[in-house]
Amino acid sequence: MAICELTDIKKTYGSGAAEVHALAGVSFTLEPGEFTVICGPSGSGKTTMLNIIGLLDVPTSGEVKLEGVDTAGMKGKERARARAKRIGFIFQSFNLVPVLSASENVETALHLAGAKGDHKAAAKKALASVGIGELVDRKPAELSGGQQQRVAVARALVKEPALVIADEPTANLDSATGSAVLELMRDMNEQQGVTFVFSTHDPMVIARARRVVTLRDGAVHSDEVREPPSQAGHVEREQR
Amino acid sequence: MFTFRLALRNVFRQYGRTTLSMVSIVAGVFLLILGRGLVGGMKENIIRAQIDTASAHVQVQPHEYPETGLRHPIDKLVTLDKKRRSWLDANSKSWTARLLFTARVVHNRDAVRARIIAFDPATDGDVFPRKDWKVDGAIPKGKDDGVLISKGLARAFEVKKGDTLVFEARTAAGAINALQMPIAGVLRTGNPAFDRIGVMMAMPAAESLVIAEGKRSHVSLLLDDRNDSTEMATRLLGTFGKNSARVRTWQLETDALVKVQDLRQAFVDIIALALMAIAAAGIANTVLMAAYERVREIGTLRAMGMTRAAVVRLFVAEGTVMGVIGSGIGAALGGWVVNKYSEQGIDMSPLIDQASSTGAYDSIPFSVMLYMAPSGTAVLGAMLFGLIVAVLASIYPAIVATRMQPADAVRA
Repeated sequence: MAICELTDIKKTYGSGAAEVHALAGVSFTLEPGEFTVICGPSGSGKTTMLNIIGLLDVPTSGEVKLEGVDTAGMKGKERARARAKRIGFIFQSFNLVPVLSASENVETALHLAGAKGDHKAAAKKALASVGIGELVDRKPAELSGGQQQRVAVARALVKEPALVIADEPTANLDSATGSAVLELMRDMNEQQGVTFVFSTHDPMVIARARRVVTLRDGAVHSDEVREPPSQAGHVEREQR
Repeated sequence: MFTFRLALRNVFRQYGRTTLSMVSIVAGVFLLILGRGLVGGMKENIIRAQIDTASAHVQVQPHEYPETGLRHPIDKLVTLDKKRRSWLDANSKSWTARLLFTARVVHNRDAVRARIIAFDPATDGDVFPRKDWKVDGAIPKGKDDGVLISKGLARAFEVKKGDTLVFEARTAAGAINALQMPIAGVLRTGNPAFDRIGVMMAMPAAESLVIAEGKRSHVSLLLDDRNDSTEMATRLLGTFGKNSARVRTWQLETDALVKVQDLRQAFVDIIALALMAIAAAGIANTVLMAAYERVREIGTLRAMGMTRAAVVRLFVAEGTVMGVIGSGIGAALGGWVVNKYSEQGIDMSPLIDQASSTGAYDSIPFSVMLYMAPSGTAVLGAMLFGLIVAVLASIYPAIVATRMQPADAVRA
């Protein structure tokens, strides 16, 4: 069963002369275990598409299915529950809660998902799995950008979601740190089968993706599947 | 627990702003408790002063005796025969009889009309406690011991203990009589009705001046429970006769004054409510600013699955934390101050002196010491009120926060 299925998705903002067609009939299927990048120039509809996949926004028309379930009839609370349990988010600016420690940030995801068991222990384990097990008690302000993004990765993965949506995850990191974080996510994908979908401009991320969907003017311009994933990203980024 | 922990951390993110918001709620709760303690204390003070200096719990007076003013007729007085005395002994905790009359007090070429309170030296102190009296001299016990004059009178005549005054008065039979007596002391009772133009005279001396033949104008009783006074009034009327006596209870005497205190209480409450409204605006502002500052954070939490209801709970919890802390501090401060002054009391002498000198409060008894009235209900009520205000004030910012679209908020 596909993780996510978009069928003829249209999204329009504004009305009359100010009407903008952010998505103009996008169809897209995301299978389990994919490591997919959605790229395209600014204004091509990447963010809108990710918002719709992540149930943060509703399309003007078309059908969105998450793990085979049509989300059209879902009310706000049901969408929130689906996001809490089945979707992990990683943001460009990390978006950690500044007053909570690394561990507490990760525990928040478990709390919102209604997960049972020892949240503290699970958070500690998740942080250890992203290589910052010794920083559990640090507040975000006491962590570097790369460490903060690792906390965000742990927070997204700790609840074992069906899908992780990463919005420009390396944009605020230097290339070495970005590469390390990306490597971490790819390891999670390969070893644990976690499904990732990225929105990015970063050639390094694009180069490491197994599938690259390019949007242009709100429509899918190309959908390229690569096997096995390319290592060229390192070279390309270093040459820039 | 998660919501509360997050709320607690958020509240102390901006110490300065949170503290300022909480100060207003502290002030509101504090003022509410202080106001209640002060006005409640004044109310009790007036009641206590009335009981202690003028009416006791129940008082028998001659029928149609003037209720106010300086008229104290002695032509129709209450007879205290052996049977009535025995009845009073058996039915009260203690009792005493006074004879009030007016006399022309003369010193050298000066003269003034004064209110003379003739008292029974053996029983008066049992009914009218003298712990708040300030006596410069000695309390007279017999006919030749002299008189206690009020501070006002001493000032008017410029006399002191040891000087001599002449008292001119009509006897019960209507004849004019006069008596020269030394000043045994200068007395301040705290009751302006006495302190301006009063004279305390031992009953034997008064008897030789007005010749009342054992009759009295005021028979005052103390009961075991002051709330039994209405029932006792009915029984006293039966004993003394409706046609020759009337009975006044302390409730009747203080009714109008207590109503004035209730009005004062209402004013204090209004001021406290206004402060609470300011506190509410402060808290709403603090929480609203917190909401706008944390747009991305709220968006992230919403993206992660936090429901709108949970966001409302979070912000209301933040208001609640401020409310609990602010109200708690306000209640602790207010409770402490009221409790301290309920034991220690506030010396009201300067205010009473001022009132005595103008004569504006001649008929209002007031004890020298004002003891605040501590009330657990007032403390709890004010605390609860502060908390409710804080919670209500955080609802609007909470609603604002839920209106944020997570898709936009996460990238804010």
